[in-house]
Amino acid sequence: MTAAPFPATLAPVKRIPLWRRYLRRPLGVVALAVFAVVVAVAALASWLAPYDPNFVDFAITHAPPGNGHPLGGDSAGRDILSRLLAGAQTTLYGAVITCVAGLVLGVPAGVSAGYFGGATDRICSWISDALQSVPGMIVLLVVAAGTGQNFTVLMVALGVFLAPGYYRIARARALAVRKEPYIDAARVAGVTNARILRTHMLRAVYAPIIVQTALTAGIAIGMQAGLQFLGIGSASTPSWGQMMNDGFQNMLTYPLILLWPSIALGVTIAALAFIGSTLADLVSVRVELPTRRGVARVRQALEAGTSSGTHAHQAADCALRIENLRVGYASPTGVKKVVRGVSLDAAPGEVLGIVGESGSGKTQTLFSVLDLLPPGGTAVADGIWVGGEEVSRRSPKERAALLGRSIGYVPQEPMTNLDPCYPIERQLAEPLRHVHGLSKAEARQRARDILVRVGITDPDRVLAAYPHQISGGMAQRVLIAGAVAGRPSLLVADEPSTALDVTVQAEVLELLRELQREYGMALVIVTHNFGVVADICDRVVVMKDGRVVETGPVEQIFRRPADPYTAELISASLDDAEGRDELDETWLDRRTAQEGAR
Amino acid sequence: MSALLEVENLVVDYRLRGRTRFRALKGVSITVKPGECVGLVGESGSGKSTLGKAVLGLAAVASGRITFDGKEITHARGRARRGLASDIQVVFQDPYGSLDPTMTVGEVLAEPLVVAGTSRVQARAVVTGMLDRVCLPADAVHRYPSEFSGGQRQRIAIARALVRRPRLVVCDEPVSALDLTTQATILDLFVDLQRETGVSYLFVSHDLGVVRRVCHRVSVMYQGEIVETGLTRQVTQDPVHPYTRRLRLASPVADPERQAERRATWLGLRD
Repeated sequence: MTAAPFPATLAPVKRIPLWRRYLRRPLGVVALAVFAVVVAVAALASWLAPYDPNFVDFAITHAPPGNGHPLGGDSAGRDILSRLLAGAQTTLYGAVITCVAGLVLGVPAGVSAGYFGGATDRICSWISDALQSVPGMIVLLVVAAGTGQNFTVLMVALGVFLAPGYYRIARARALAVRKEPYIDAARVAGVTNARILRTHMLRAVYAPIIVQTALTAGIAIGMQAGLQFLGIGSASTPSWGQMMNDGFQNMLTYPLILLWPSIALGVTIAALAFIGSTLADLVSVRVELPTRRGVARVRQALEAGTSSGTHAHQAADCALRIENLRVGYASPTGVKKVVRGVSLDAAPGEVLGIVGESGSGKTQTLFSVLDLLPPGGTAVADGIWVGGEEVSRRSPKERAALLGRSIGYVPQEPMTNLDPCYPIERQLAEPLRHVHGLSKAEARQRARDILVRVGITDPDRVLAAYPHQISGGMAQRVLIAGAVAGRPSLLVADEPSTALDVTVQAEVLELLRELQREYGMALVIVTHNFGVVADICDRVVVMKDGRVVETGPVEQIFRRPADPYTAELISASLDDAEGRDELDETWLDRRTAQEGAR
Repeated sequence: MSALLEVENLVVDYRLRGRTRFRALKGVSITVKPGECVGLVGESGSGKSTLGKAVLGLAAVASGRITFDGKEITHARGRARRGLASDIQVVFQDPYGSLDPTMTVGEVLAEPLVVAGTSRVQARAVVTGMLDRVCLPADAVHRYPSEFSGGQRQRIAIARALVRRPRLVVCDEPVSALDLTTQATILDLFVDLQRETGVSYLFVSHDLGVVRRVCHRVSVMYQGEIVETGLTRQVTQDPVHPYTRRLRLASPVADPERQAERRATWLGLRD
């Protein structure tokens, strides 16, 4: 048992960097290309511009495009193209200053507030809220007047007003990450708070901050143009906002003067917005819903497949019967088959255990019965019978109708399977009213009765409580109550006791056994623990890599396992394994013997 | 042999809403000797993890003393606490949350060394050696935690704990999130590493079977108090306290006949 079952080298994993994935999005590529052109033009403005942007030639006042002035002249007789190019420089310089100011103020404050909490958080959040509630434009005008229209100072001030955007995002991420055990581990490893903030925390906020910067840059450019439009900024520095002001005053007579800077501004802001949304798409974890073609591809790949496992009962007598079930997921490299031909059955009043290690496909088999596979999963079977009726060809709606009536389900994690926003009463009574058409009072009475039945001594308190107000063991009792409230003929349970400690586990297993006998249900229980199997099961299905290794009555499986894998799993349980003192004795004996031989 | 870790009459309170307090530890005492593995068993809410956290400085102590190697560390903060990092380390339960998903395994393992001032070249050599010890291939350094299974991640977490050659490792339910077969190999790894390095373990678990496999001595906790302490063999086979008896009978054995008997006895004790 000491052998470590690990390969000497790991299989190569294809990791696709973010920028490569970005380049696969056409919209993102176009937006990035447009923005790159704007940046290039701004950088090369002094070489590209045909004239000095401030050179006045009265001959071209209000001139239409042509005569060596591709975009014509403005109301003061200056070349519009040259001013547009120089304006790009001003615009981007301002945007960079604004974003840097926002980043420098918002991110460290947000990360510290989220990480330290307490007073730091309260003070920082108060300042952030105050900034958001002050009318920014008025303050900016005051700043402009007070600093002699210094453009850089004004852009920094604008950055201060955009800092709360960064602050909110950084704080939210830091709050979530602070509770992760790896932060505790870093503290125990002697990492200083400053270093934790610099490494772990900053890495956690990195992706959303990049997205936020693309969006902030767009906002900054818009606001900057607005300020310039109002006449703020040095008259000798050409800017798009200033040009728009000029165009606005001559809009009715010479509309083209307004058109050019408007296009430049609109295109730049749109490019930044699309870059931001493409990045946001890439960094957020989203499950792609399978396409019709994808599902057909998975179905086709699952078409052929030999069955594994045997049936013990006549088809008509079964509470559950599965015939040659296959489950697959579409993946970039083809179809991933997680269940590869499984057959099993369970009679009313029988407890069937499905055992296997993680990745053996046992939970996927269960979810196929419930028709609750995660998105992207497709199940194909020669037949699934529930209570003697074939259901695998029914529509999803008809399959869903079985839940709560014919099939009850007890999940693995009690806490995450109760909605934290509703009291227990509502979560128990609502399905009863919906599925069984009971009145509000009847449903409440039924929910109360069933809570008493699952061993809850103060049902009224539990009915009124929210999930966070009850313990894990109590939550699992509530979920079991919900599963059996509709008097199903088949109860399926997915590792119902794994998340609980042994004392509660024993109680939950005892309760399941009692209910199963009382109602004469078939119970199908998925577990990796042979102790649980020995405790409750009548028959066992052992699964490995999506196939049934062996099926048999519980005594036979434990006494005479037919497959070496079953024997290995049973021997992994620590019941009869040597204790530490015995292990140490044999080790010491061996060492003394070795030293004696030397 | 004098004790490496000594906890005397430790009291820890958690602040609930407003001024109400919840007393998680009600005067707990425990000792761990060099090279020894001491188990802490109990159900959730018994305070066993809180004791581990208090030793690590992650839970504030209301009263009592924690002494490590003769020095009092009850309220060690800041620099003093960081100084303990080379002596006291931790392995957490959750193999998914305990490794930073944005760092490669090499960065995760090198971090404790780098903050202690080890040069990068030297750190790399130590990390490679450590990976070999926990039976992971050397090319794991360039990979991210998400590319590993639960058992492999727990090996990485163990490697991180041992990389600075500490004298005490607090193991907070380190195998309860793993498959039974993986549990067995990880427990054997803990035992092997203890023999090789002479490290002490404070081993928190809810499973008496796990504790029996790795611990020399064990303390049983119930509602913030230690109800029974003794040699593992004695506590797991012939417990004195009724709570320990119930705890022992609650964990199912992988044998239908013996489990039927055990369940019957447990049901008898329950009423």
